[in-house]
Amino acid sequence: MNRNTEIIRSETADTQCLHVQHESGLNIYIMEMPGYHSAFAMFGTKYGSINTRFRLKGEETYAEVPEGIAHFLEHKLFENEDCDAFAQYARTGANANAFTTFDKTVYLFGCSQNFAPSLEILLQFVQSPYFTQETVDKEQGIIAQEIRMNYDEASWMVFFGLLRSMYHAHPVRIDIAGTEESIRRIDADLLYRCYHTFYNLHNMVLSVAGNVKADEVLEICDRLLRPCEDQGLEELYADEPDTVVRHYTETTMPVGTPLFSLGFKLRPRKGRELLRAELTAALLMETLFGASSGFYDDLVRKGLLNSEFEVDGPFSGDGYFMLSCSGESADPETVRDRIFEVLEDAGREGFDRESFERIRRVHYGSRVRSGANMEANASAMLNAWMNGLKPFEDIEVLAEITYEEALRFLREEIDTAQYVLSVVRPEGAETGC
Amino acid sequence: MKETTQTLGEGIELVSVCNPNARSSSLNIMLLLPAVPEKYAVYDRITGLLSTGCRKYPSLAALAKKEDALYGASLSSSFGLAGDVLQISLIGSVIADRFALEGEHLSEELTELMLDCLLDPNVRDGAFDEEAFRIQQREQLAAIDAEINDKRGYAIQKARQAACEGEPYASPMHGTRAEAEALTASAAYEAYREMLRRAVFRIYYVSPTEAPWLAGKLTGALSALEGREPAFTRAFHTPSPIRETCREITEPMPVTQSKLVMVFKYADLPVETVQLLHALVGGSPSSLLFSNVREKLHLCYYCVSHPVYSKDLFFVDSGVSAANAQRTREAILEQIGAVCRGAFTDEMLENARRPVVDYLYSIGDTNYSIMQELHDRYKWNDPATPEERIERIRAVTRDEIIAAAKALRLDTVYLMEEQA
Repeated sequence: MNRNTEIIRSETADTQCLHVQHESGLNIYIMEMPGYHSAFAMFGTKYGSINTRFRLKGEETYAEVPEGIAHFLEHKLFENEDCDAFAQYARTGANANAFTTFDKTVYLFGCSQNFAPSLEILLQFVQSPYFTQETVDKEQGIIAQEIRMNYDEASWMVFFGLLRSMYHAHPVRIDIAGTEESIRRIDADLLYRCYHTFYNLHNMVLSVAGNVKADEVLEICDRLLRPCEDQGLEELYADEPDTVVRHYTETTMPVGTPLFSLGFKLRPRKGRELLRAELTAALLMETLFGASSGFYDDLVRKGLLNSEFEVDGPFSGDGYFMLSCSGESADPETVRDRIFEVLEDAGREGFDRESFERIRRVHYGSRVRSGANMEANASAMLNAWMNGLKPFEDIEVLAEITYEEALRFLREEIDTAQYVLSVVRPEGAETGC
Repeated sequence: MKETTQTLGEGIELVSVCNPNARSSSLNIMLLLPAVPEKYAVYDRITGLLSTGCRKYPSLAALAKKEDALYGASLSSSFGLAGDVLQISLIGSVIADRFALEGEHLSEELTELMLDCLLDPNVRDGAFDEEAFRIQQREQLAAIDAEINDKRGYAIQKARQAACEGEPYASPMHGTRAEAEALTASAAYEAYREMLRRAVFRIYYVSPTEAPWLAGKLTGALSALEGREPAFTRAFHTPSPIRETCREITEPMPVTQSKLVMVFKYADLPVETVQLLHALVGGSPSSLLFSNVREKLHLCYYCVSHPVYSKDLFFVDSGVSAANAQRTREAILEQIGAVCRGAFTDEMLENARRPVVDYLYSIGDTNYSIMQELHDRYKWNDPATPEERIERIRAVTRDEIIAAAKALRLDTVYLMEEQA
């Protein structure tokens, strides 16, 4: 088969990978890691819970499908006509799994033996959908239990409280697994429709890292990938205002301590602009609110925060971008007010330049450390492609961001008027604002 | 990989491994003590203090700044049990020196920082610094209160406490609220000094380069400890006595999903046999519980097993609707019964064996798994290498698996029942 190949190298991280534009339409990334025993492979599609309205080239109207269908499809794809994929993996010993997020579905495995047959299983079952009404009905009970399990997770509830209060119309406000009601509307025909729309190899990526040989990976790909045409997929999202729905939301459930999440709605971006904004925001938020900040030290001393507090990584995708921090506190409103004060003071007077450089060093260290991890490497290459970037581009951008740029980002991009505070309180506790 | 073991003093041993593939250096200073439940609360507090400050970096922020300066070095402490042995660990990790942008000796700096945290805490007038102590008290109380936040973890903990009632393994690891509230900074400091006197030190180090400086640095610091009298019994394996009749506990709670935990006990089974039994019964998506209880009967999203080798316990847990709890329980017993009857194919047994072997082959890939492996060898007093353990896994027979399943006795059933 014809392949366009390029080697992408990072001198800073002392590593490299091979990128192949395969004739089938699939993008393939391979990182050979000599000396290691394990290998990790991820086969992903740009299809997550937010992709509920779409059309293909030549179609006039947009199809609208039930919430939770991408996740449902992920569950069902493991079941092929003759046997399920887990039974096949059992013959190789690989540790296989899959996950669905807001904007992607990924099938993966890790192993230290039998990599080639495991990769064959991965490529084959993801390309061989088999759905019947009987198996769809069966899965509804299992997924209903998964949904119910999440309803009892306080951290999940506080996060979705945040999203539902931040986004008016964007489907990111909907639970990834959908609802018990929405999954009842899923049938085999709808699953096939979504499969053939989103599981086109032009919309997919294969990422492999560890004890592998590129030639062996590509030989398997040449043999098993089924070439397909780009179908000109278009997606549609409802118009989303810049404002939030409400500033405060609260849920009560059996928890021992109140949990909170405070988020700020930002202008969505794409590609390298998004990467730069994400890294700038991450450096800024860590500098102002991380474990080494005066803010954190002060609030821990005062008993307003504990070690559960963390600055969350930027949350972004097609049409959404949010910064947040979360933790436990008996008084989330006071924590919110202190965060506002710090943001306003820093925006007016600037912040400690030395701290900013220290946090940049932390990010560099984290990137170097993850270079020894097969799963982290496979995941980084996959995510880079999903976001329209090259592997290691983040390391370059991280080195470019200046203090002045971070200050400008704080002043011009973070609007404290567009915030949401989501709280989960113990049952019977006094409510907040 | 080159492995070296050195005795640094009475009850102090360093095991270091040079792993050229590593991109970071990791150090685990582990203190081993007898498990005395009355001391859990104070040791939990001390463990928290070890990784949140020292005399040189007296506040959390000051220590975090130092970690940041070491390229985001991680420094954490943990406190847990292995059988009736209390294990307190101070664990640090930093990127390899070759990645330092200004030629810093990062692994040496991290070692010094960890020794500062362990041996030179923030102390005034014979007591831990009062403010740091109160911050850790709040952490401890919050951790006790927050146990209910994770419903699955809470259910497993309740089942464990019921199954092992009266044993050190059953007591809450953070201590009780009353114990945590009653602790004083001076009594905790005295307990800390006693801990350093009595503990056996196991120190594990994994790095991409050899560290000829390490033993000297550790010896220099630890030899200053006064009145060392390590008092320690190798009680890593203390089987929980098997009950005559099964204990049943139902706890109603306003949740949307019930949690079922079944605790089985066994006696006199080799670790490798139980590992393989776990893989066959509930350790993977091709296991009997996943294939039958979830995929065929659609009773749940998860139904898994997890053994505790140090106590001869075999847990099965699942999230179900209350209406299906009894049916799920029967389905779980039916699958274990199927193994007892030998109603599984040789292929199923081989399928269970492969992921166990696969994991053992991968141990050299991370600093953490190497350190874990080194400690397991010590803990079980078994010098077998991963390759030798693979051979043992391969040697476990079908009859041994059947006998192991027959040895399981249902001891405790805990149900967190969803309220209508």
